[in-house]
Amino acid sequence: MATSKFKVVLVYPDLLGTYGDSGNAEILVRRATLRGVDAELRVVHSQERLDDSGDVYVLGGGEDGPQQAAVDALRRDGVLKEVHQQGRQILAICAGFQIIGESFATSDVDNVPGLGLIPVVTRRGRQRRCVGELLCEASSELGIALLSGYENHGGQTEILDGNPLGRVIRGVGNRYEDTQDGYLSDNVIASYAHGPLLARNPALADRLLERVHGLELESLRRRDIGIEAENLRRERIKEVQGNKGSVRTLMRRLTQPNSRTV
Amino acid sequence: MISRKVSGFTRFLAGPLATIVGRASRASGRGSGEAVAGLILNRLDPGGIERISRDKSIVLVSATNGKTTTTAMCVSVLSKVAPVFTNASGNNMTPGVALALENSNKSKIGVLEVDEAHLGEVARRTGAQWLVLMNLSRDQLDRISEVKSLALRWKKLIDQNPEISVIANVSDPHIHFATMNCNKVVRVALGNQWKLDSTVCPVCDSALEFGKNEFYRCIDCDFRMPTAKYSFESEVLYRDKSAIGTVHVGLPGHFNACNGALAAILGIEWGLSPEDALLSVSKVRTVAGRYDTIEHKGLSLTTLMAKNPAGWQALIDMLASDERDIVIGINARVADGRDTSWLYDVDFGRFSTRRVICFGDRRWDIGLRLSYANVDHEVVESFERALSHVVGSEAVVVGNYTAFQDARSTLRVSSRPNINGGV
Repeated sequence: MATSKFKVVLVYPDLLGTYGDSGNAEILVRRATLRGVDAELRVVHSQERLDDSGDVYVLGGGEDGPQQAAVDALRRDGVLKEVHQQGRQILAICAGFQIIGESFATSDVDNVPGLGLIPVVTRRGRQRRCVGELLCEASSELGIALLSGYENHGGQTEILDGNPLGRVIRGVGNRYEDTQDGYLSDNVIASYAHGPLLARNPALADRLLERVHGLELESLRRRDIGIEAENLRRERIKEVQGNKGSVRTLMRRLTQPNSRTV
Repeated sequence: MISRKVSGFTRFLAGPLATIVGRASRASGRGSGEAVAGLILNRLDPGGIERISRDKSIVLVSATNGKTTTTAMCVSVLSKVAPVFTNASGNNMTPGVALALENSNKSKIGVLEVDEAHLGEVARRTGAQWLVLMNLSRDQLDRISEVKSLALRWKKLIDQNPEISVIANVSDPHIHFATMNCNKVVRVALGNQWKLDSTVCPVCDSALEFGKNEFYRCIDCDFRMPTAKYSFESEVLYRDKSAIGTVHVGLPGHFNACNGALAAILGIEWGLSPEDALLSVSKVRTVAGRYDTIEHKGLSLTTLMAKNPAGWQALIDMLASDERDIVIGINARVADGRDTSWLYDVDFGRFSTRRVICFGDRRWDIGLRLSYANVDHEVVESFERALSHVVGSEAVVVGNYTAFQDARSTLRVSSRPNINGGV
């Protein structure tokens, strides 16, 4: 483990970085380093060629104009599509999630072609923008009970084929019509949750690291980072659950032996 | 916009009632009372803003960062011309403006700080003659629109009201975009430290290129930084490339010198001599408790406010050479924005040689953020506890909006502004 290398590529933070999503890349690198992995963060701006030797590619959120510019640049560049076909991992949040789908909408254009890496389409929302805390029950294969985050998007995303990252308990997620958030496949984790997502859900960061290295990682629970993350998670989940009487259910879920929360 | 009929009697009662409720609210410890008083006024006397501002000269100051300080400096400068009225910091939406006007008495000049999302409504209703626009960057994205749509709204306001004069910091591409069709714009090149929200052209969404001296241009269309009438370099203010004076401000940080330059330019455009305008700017020492140093239980505390990435970056630059402990308070109440993800847009790693103590409702958010940035820190449940963890006799306290107010009230000092230019 200590000898293996791990490279995270942060894709276009100049265009896809509105909601602190670069934190996801920083968190992956740090959690790998704490386990003795030789980890590197490679930041690639939109004027540069994308690095094709990454283990994980991280895409964040952005406004309409930058989102359009990002999809154009990524299509010209071609590397993201290539590494996706080779099975490298992609973590895509918000606008990044929309971009890797088949199509999305901006405030001016209805049907902007995406990169087509995953079978989802995003249409313009007719209702209120989806803004607020997002709490999901994570897809069971992740072995995580709950995912916590904050969403802020207008677009409504429909999964044409495949599975969501989680089932929405509070908030909207992909769209008003169903209770799904994000998308999950062997090498894509996508979500509308920033926060950033991996800060609030360190177990998800570790699952991603395990996908690359194929090993179960040493727990960081007892370290400061683990304690703070656990406190943040608890505080956020409690806030969202409020006084709805579901705290007990929640606690049961959190204390299940096979639900590794940190 | 408001079609409800309001009787003359209700209107007559609105002012006194607002005052009484405001005082009651303040006496009961629910805050300054200004917010509730403004709300009552705006409701009971919906045409009040239009009626009172009719025979006044109104200057509106708006930006993501520096509104309160620049407003205080503009008040100080224009007080050389005539008595000036202003509004309370943070009470910068329509009700706050209504209250400031109600209390304006005989003052004929109003300098009002306006929330960036409310600029259109306030400008239309007050018939403002002047705008001072400094910068736009990401802030409270859960409440305020994304930067581009805000710039578009400002542009629409200015395009539809050709009689408005604007002092515009065109180093910020969004401010140039908003004022590009304005005939009465006074362009100022102040420099622009925060570029993450100006990566694409506001006109055509192609990439923006930055060159020497903060010059920017679009790689596809003809949008580019225009020639500015005023520029500001190494604390010297230039008009048409000739030096007209040095900006000395009583507040720390390059960003405050920039705010001072803008306020001085407003005065100069109003007919003051550069000397008089610059002197008035230099007299502002503390603004609504910001940059204030307080002695408290043997500690010397400097209180600062930073509430978004651009504001933090400016403060980090200012604090970089310092060795004092840093006490950071983060809340996420309505006035702060509910979303704390912006903490990851701040380069906290530059505090790696400092001791940081975190408090606030969202102390775990900032604590975890600092852990990932590898910054030595502690997380404690209250501001008082944070102070007891300070090593040495000095510290810097930085809070976002409500955390700053909480800290100031614990120190039993006001974070209310010096109204009527009491500077």
